[in-house]
Amino acid sequence: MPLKFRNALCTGCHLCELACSAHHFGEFAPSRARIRATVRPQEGDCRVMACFSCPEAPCIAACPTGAISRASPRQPLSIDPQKCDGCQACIPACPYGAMYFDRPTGKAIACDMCGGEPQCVLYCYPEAVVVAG
Amino acid sequence: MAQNGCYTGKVLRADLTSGRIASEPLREDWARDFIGGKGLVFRYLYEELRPGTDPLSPANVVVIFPGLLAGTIVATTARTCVGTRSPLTGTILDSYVGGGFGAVLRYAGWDGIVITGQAERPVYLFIEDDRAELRDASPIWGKPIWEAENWLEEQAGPGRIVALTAGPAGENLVPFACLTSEAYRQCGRGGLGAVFGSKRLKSVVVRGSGAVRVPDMAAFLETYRRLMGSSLLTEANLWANTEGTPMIVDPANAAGLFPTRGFTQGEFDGKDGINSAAVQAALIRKRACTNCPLACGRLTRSRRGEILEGPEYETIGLGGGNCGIGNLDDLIAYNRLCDNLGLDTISTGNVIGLAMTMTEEGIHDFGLRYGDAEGYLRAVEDIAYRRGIGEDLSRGARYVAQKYGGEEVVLEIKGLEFPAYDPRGAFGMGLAYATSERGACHLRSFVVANESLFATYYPDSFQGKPQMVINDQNLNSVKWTGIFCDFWAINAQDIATLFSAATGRAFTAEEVMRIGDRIWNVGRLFNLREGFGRKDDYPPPALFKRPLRNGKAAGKVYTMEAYEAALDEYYALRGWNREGIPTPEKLAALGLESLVQ
Repeated sequence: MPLKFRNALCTGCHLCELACSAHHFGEFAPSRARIRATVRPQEGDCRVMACFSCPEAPCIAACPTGAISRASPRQPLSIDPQKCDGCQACIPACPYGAMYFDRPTGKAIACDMCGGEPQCVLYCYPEAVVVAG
Repeated sequence: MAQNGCYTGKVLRADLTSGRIASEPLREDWARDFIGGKGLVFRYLYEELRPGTDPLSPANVVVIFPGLLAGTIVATTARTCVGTRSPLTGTILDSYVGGGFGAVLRYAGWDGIVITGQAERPVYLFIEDDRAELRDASPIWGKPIWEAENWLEEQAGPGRIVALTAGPAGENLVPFACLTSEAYRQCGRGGLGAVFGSKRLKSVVVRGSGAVRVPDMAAFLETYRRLMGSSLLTEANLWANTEGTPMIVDPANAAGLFPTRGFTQGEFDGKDGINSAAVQAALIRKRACTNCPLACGRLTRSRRGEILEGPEYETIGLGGGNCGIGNLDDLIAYNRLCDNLGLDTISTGNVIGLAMTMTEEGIHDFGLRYGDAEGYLRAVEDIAYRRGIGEDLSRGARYVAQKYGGEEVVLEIKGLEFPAYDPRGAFGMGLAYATSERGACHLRSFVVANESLFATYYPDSFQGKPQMVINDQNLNSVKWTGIFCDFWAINAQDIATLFSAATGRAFTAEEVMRIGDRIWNVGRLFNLREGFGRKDDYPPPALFKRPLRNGKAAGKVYTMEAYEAALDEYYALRGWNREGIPTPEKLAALGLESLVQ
């Protein structure tokens, strides 16, 4: 099952970003995370977003090299780094802002559910990020 | 210094006079001996500042260091230490802000920032990864902080920025003006806002797109997850998540040490309007600093529709009880004014409470009475803009007391006004305040917790307190190099474990405590160099002469004999002579001989 976000519970700590980048890239780098928190401190507004495998997945059709695929509509995306040429067409195609460009590798990245045990969920103390079920 | 463990090895130096900005290597020897945060801030300040520097002159320096662990996943460590020579006290000053500034500075590739000189026109320092420049701040000069933050965000364009910003109070050189980050988080104490103001520096803004690395990520995460269970997400800390600091209001009243009506009482009859239950009733959501699961912040809405992250316990104590204000809506309005104009809520609540007491007791008429919400809110603005009664009040409690005969009423040490724990209800806290390098501060030793707040240990005696205070001061000095938050009750062993995992160097608990002792002694040497000494390590006359009028500690005062004995014992245990000067042996044991040659 994909991720689910309960923004009312999000405290804006950004720990999800670090759990994600540490797992995928072995370093703490919010700019390389596949999940992002957006915080507006004055209003205290906090929300979190990652690919939740939406039914339409317009990113797949937008990709000119056929790098993006998924096994079934509720399965996480798979982005083939061999095929992805870093054109970034998928990024504006995503209506949720959940597709990201990883500058160091020059490739598109999106939530892959960490192969089944999403690390962001493990570190999200307020349980704003959970596995849908 | 090349990248080493989770250090970036680079320090940014910005001279506002010449406009020159340069990258320099982090001093490797200082990083080894002083780690980060408070340690490096103190070591750099000791080196950079000539004795006798006027705090509001171009010669003063601002040094900014996040802690060793900033930017990692370790809870509470995105904090930042900002230091200078305080315009309020003349002492060394280290002031801390939560939020995300420290983490983002690390992602930008910097271990710290040193700011010198004075700009000709208002500027802000903009840092984006390895690029840094001084930019024109004239459109926001004179503007309140929230407006300035919004403008800075617009100028920076999309993507997260964090900033440390001075408000009108800082520009007007109010010596207890703070710096604000992310709307509601402050380097509160000691007047950094005024130092920014004197330098015509409105803000330091950072955007960082890089990474923080550790020697072995898998081992680092395994170590940290173990500590999360055994040390972090435990009963000792989770109060911060469930209630936040307003939790302290009820026990402080029960212990009779809640600042009430200009510190004349220890129990506030209006506390139910501003205690934890009242704050929870106004709660919108919990808010966290970057990389912290504890989320102690409370986003609240007053019945007037005003939003605030807060109020925190200290603000409730000084802006609430101490001014006789028992209405949360008024307190939220006060907190918002202070945050937006850039005033320390602790010092401001002290000064207004003092003016109220001096008015009530016929010492001098400031036209302010306990509980006068309208007058109190007006006074905040008058202080920030230095007009009317604010002309005097903006100079701090010590000045007001000396000018108008309030010396026996005022509560300050070294010029820094009291936090929200009346030391007549916890005698060790008086020693903690008096021996704090930056003046009356509760964050060097929180001995009050075990004396009377959450446990009882001879609250009206100095028995055993000197050693307890020293242990806390040394532990906290090293804790603030991590920088761990006060709200993680972490011990020296766990600090050593995390420092080892972050650097690849094997730390022991003993070494960690020695580093804390070393930092504490550098602060002492700095103050001695500025002419401070034993004479400045005394509580104010009120603690000896004016008992509290109600509450559990009513009627209790210090005797000079008992206090002097405690101070003697404190100095002896520290390895300092009777005048409070570290002995040559002590300095040699800490590797600090070269500082006094």
